[in-house]
Amino acid sequence: MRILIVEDDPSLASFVKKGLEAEHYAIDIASDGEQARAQACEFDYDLLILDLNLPRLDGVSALRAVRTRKPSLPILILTARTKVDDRIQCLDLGADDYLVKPFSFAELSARIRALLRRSHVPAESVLTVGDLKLDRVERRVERAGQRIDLTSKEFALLEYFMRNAGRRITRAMIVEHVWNLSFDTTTNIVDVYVNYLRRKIEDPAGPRLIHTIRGVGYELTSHARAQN
Amino acid sequence: MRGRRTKLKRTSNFDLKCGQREVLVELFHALAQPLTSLSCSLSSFLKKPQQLEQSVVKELLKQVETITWITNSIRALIDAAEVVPRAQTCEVADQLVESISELLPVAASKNVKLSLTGDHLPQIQIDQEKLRLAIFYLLDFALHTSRKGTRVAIETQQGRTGKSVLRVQLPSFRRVRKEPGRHLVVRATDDLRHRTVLAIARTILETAEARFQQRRIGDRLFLEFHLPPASRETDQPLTRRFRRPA
Repeated sequence: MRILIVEDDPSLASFVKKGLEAEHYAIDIASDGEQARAQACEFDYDLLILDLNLPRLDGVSALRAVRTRKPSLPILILTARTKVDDRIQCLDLGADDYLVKPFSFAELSARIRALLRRSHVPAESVLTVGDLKLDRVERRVERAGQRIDLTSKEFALLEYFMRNAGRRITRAMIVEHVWNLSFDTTTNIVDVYVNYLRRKIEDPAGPRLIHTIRGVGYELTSHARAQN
Repeated sequence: MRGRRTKLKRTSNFDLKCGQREVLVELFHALAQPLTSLSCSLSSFLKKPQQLEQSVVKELLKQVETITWITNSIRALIDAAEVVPRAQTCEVADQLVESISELLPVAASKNVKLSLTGDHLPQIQIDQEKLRLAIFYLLDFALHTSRKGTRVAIETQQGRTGKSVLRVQLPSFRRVRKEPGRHLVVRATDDLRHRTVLAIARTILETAEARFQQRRIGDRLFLEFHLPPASRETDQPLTRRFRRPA
């Protein structure tokens, strides 16, 4: 997997590069928006990590230009801007996710894995994990043919889990994508809703579907996995 | 009479310190501890790199997490004060019902009940998304600072001056105490975390010209937002008692 990091702070770019290379990604770095636009359009990358505050060409303009030329390239925005409007603008322009600085490397790594996997999965109307099915159009959930009633928030949470099945997702990702909160109140809402969801979709006698990953968050998978 | 004086005295002396400026000052102050700790640790490792054990690195990462949380809090508080140009007339009760329904499982996990009553349905000129955040954070604060087995009462009322009042009553407010033996950084910021959440809610509502008041009588804490008159308000009664989800 080849990733282009666009970051004008050389020390941050270098730390992120080292960390991602340790996870076996091939990394290129661009330090301004113009260079980013040229490299991203010319070469085939699996992911673009784009800072918004860039010299020569600002990140939003670079994002707009790259998205026009590469409609299916996953793009993760890194920024110090937190306003809801900035986030909405980037997502409207075609960014796939948005991570606010300062961030932990574990958070960045989790989001990269989720994006890389999602880019290979077509946006299906029915998501399936084992015998669990979620119909996004009919808003219907079934397990082994048995219908399961969920509240709208539980449905949104399960949909997010199923779109990222087999990948670790952090609490921050869930709070942002399902609850649309950009500030971590340290609320236990995610854990509480995950427990409710487990009670509804899991068979108490069977293997667990939603696994807790200590210090990270959760992972939905139909396969048994060792608890971290 | 003596009892009444005592009540008033206790009420007037209480200050939760949840204003934007007060909390910002405390957050900046709280940054000093983990930054100093990091700076000193890294300097000492430069002299004796062999001391850099994994357990130490984990501890340093915790300090960085604290700094990250404080930085994000400062930013969220500054963002909360921004007036969004796309303000519209929003129904406060609708947002209360939606947020309460969403937070019911959290309330159940904390064994706290929620009720919503009111003699009219107030409106406010604000961006709908900011109202959603304000109500969510306000209720989040109430749930996380109430004792188990209590009921948080949310009321909307017509005030004497024509303003509407949104009141949240915590019957048994539980201020997070410093716990001996816990890490200094965590200890210093537990109470601050809760007040930051309330400060964000308060700051957002103040951008819509709401006026905040707090009262404490014994263990009971009253948080009140006096909302300015909107163009149209309905005098329909509002009474909802929310049941814990099955």
